[in-house]
Amino acid sequence: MNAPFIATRPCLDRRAFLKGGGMALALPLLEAMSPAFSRAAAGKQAPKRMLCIMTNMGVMPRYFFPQTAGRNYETTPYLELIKEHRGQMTIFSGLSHPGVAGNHSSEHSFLSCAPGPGSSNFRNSISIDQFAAEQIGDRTRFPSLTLLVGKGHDGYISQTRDGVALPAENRPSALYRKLFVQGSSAEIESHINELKKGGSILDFVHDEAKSLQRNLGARDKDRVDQYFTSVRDLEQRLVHAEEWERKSKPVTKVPMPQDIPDKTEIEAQTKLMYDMIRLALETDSSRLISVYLGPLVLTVKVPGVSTETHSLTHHGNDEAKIAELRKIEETQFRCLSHLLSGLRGVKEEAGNLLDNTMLLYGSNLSNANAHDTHNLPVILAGGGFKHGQHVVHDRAKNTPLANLFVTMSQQLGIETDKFASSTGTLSGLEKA
Amino acid sequence: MTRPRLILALLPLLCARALPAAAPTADKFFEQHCYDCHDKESKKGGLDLTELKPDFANTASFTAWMKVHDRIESGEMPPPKKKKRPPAAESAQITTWLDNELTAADNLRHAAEGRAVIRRITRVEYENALRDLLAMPDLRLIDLLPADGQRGGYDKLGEALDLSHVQLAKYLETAEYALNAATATRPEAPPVLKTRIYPGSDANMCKALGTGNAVLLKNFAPDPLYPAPGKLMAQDYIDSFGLAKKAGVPTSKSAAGFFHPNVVYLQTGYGFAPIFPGKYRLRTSLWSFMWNAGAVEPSPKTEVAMLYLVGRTLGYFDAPSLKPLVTEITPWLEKGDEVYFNCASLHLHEQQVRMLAGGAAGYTGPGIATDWLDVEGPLFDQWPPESHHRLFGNLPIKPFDSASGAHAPKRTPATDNNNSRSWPRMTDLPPSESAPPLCTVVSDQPLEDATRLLKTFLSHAFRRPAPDDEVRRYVGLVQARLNAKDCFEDALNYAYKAALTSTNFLFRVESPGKLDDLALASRLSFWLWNSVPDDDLLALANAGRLHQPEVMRTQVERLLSDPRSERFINDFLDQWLKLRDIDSTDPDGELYPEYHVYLKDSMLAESRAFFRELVVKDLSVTNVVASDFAMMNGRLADHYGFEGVSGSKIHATLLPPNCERGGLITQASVLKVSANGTNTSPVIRGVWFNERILGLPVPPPPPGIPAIDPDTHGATTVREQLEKHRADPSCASCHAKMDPPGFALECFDVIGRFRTRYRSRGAGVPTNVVYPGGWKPTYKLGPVVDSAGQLPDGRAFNDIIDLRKHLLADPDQIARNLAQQLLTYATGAELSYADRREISQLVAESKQRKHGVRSLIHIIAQSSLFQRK
Repeated sequence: MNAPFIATRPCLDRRAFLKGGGMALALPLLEAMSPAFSRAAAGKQAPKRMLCIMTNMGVMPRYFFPQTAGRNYETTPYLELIKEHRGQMTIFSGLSHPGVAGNHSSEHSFLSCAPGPGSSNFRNSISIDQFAAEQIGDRTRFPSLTLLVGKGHDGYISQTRDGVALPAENRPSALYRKLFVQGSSAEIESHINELKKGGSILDFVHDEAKSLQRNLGARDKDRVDQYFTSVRDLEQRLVHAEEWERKSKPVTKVPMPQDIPDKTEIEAQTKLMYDMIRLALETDSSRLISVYLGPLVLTVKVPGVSTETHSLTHHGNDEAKIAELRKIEETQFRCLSHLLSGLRGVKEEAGNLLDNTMLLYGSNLSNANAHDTHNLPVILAGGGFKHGQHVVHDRAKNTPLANLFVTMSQQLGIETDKFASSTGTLSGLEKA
Repeated sequence: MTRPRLILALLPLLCARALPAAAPTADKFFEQHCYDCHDKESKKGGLDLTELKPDFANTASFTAWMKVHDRIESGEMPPPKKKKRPPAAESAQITTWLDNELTAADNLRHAAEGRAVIRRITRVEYENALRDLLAMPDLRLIDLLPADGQRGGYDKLGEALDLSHVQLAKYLETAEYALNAATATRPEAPPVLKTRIYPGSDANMCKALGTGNAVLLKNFAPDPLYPAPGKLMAQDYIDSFGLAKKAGVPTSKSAAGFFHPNVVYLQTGYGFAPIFPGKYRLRTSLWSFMWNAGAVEPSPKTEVAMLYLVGRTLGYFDAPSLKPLVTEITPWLEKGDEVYFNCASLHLHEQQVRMLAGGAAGYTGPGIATDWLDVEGPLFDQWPPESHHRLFGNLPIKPFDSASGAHAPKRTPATDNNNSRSWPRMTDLPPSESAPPLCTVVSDQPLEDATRLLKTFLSHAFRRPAPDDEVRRYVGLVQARLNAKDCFEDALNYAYKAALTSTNFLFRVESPGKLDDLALASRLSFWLWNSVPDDDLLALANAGRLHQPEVMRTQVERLLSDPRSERFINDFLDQWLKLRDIDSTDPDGELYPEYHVYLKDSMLAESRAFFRELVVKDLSVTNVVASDFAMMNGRLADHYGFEGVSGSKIHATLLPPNCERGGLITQASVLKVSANGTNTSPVIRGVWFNERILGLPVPPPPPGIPAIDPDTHGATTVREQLEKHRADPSCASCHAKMDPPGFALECFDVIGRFRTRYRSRGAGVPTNVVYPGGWKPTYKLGPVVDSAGQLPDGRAFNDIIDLRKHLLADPDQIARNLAQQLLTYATGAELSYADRREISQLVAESKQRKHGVRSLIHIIAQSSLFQRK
């Protein structure tokens, strides 16, 4: 998570959490939680948010894509699972990232659109959530949140401008703590003190590095400049964090969730993280969230599934494996439905939380058996668009998915007509 | 369109100049032989030669010309099929001209900027550096830092080692974590506890016993105290701990025998988790047996058990038949690390014994018994530990003086671990541990002490003597923190933290031209130790002697003989052969039921031991493709179908003649990373082989090529599916180069087993394989494997043995590749055109020394490629 902080990490915190408190019960606690957080200033327009969710296992096209286009598209087995949200979402066909081919490394380009992720000299670029965070991230306590459920391949989809991956948080409890747990005034002072100390170290090392700058060739200079940029960026974030540290955190009646140590419990894991996301959005703690769902390399606890997910995705067109795989993918769609219902259940000015949240759901792969990166499964829900249709782009010559990112950026209020491989905004999607 | 004049181009090229003038000869050559396909209209392969300017200073055109050169030189262009081929002399004129131009342009760039670029250290280097600086060989930091960028599979390349605020924030955090871990917070060492834990005393072990996934044993026979259950009762699982308790199992001091290595449903610990981090002596007594429906009989072989923590193997232990073997390890454990037991070498079958009709009582199959685990710790060689000494010297640790007005240092009090059944508890410690006094290091003359300590620390961390004014600036930080009422410990650690976040620590800075001795010391140590130089290297560098060939030779020998060279071998193989990808796929359990973490760890151990053998004994690089020996343990011998090796230790074993195994390329580790978890593809393996073993880069696939949709029904093979694709002439030219080694390797499956038929989940014949315990696999034997193929030059092969013979015909190629891989790793820069000439010299030199791998390392260390930026 890109929460800027200089932690005074208790020595063993990292390990201690891994061991957890033994088996946690997957509490359905969140249903019993407090009603929506009402925005303090009445009449103030609700902010626009963007939530991007990627599953790294592909989605079997045969159970996902409708055959017909438009408003009257026929339902499919997967869409059936989220049918109650049909009017709140658009299904897209014929989108993909140009130049993003082959295998699992395509996940690193899902939000950045950077071409050639599998090639040996691949260089990633900024992801859409971080691009937006650069513009509007300063408006919330957390410029963005990058989250992970399950076990990633490499586990990231959000990158900085230099293509450096942002670490993702996978503990709902840690996320909750950041969002809501207010330290005592002494703790706050101590934290601010730590932030200041971090800032002073940065000042110092910045000055120390100046002697390096002399007589450098262009390529060396480029490397050293990255250091200076990093120092400046981190300093800004520390200042931002310090300002927010002095403001009190939002209050919630929802109790601290207990993490589920068993990563194979994907339904409980995913729903718990989705509930935290809803809380983060409704309290306006962050407006930009990316989520990486990584069920690969796990034998997930889903009834009827006994095989590790990655080998299921390489089903070799074996019907038994396909049936198992389908159960995992259905679980993911059930979780999505849970999230959509949750967001719709939070009332905001002129509608509900989903109306003000663009929820992008998709995968870097379509048919994972062939590592196919064309015709990606993509859903956009909420966020103030005219939904309820299946928008079909050319399945043979795909439209850049980046076009959708441009449309979404504009909806966030960012003035841009270009992002990465985009060729414009996305046709077939209108503002409500 | 102007063309360079050949005559001019062939003159010595010493300085930058304007674009060469027209060269009718080259122009004529291209016009006659190339423009047909490579002009504006056709632009075959994306190349328009009429538009390509002879501007070698420009990266894009440089790269394009390099391709033109290589294609003409290899005879690939103009295409051999063409009727009118240029006479060899004419082609040679063009390639000579290009060779000179390209080399000159590259050399100019190198003279100005060097081959390598300034780079930050990788997270592996960061961890090793802190381990060495703080004398904490077990410090684990990698997971605290973001993954590094890669190029060509290497993460040591400056161009790919980007830096952002994300890393910087993590560097601050990680430095603090490491400094905290290194700082002693008490005048005396934590109390050492010692105990013997019997398996019956742990709740999870009791569960396994109660359900029949394990059996209670005494004197090499079933313990009548708690007989193996027959049919499982649903209630048993839940009640098993209670039942075992009632029967007296926890106090029985009996052994427990296990049948399953499956950690998903059988995570059995000893109920030990430390309160204090430190080294712990773990001794365990293990033996194996054959469980014959309730009777304990001799085991046919030595089995192997594993002790592990969640996510980390501690070690493998031999368990001989009915003869307890006591083995000891002393790993570093963090607070709360629970030690688990696993009967690693037993077959990983789908079903639990407790689910079988007769339960454990009716089961017949091999088992591993654990008598007890002895635990002693935390153990420290000295107190305060050396890590503390590195930061605070001999300054005393005393109770914190709250009257001093300084802020007390932060402390995390010792607490009970979360698992309330684990030993020890706080109540097991001496009473004084419940509220120990707050202690910290004390200095009577803080600035003087800080100056002295920082001077030493900075000189090590920065890999060069720290000048006084630099030390003063860091002491200034200490002063500022003391003024802000930090205690001495916090103030000094703050300055250390700043040092570990500065470019002087994080960046490897080299100046163009020949490296000075200090830069050379770092290059050498970051290569062969993957870490900072030690005192000896720095002393030689400071004396200006390191670059002397004989001194360099001695140092290379010293570094290679030091245990730290293990880091080089592991990390280099991870990057060169992509072994770090070994966990990125998990083999399909139905098709490959043999796979288990023990097999995986054995695979990695084999390749590492093998490469080490080449280095230690200076064996020829040809061993990469063919060797008459293998480094195997019992598990691998089983896996490969050899007899006479047992136990967990890796041994050098002679291979029979004409055997499909031999060489790195037939080791299970590389066969696994070059496949996915379900199937192999000759293309993927072929690309891996070309790039990693032959040193031939493979261009990425053209856009829009659909991937193969593999089928494991047993109906078609990937190779058959590929045939269609290869039949397309536009695909054929590349695939003819790429695929052949992949075809030969088709005789090995995704876990590196030899096969003559593909395993199938659908069509095929049942196999007659039966695993110990009577378990039968459910896969079928599908289509027959075809390993035959033809090298691009036309030499045919029937199988891997033939292919190996062809490869052995050109040892220089294998040596060239290894030299290139080592140089890329050692210098942090990809090889460029101008480097080819020197590499050819290195290969020639290597040949003189029988292509020995240790010799090759020496040759590289002495080369100007290594000794210049």
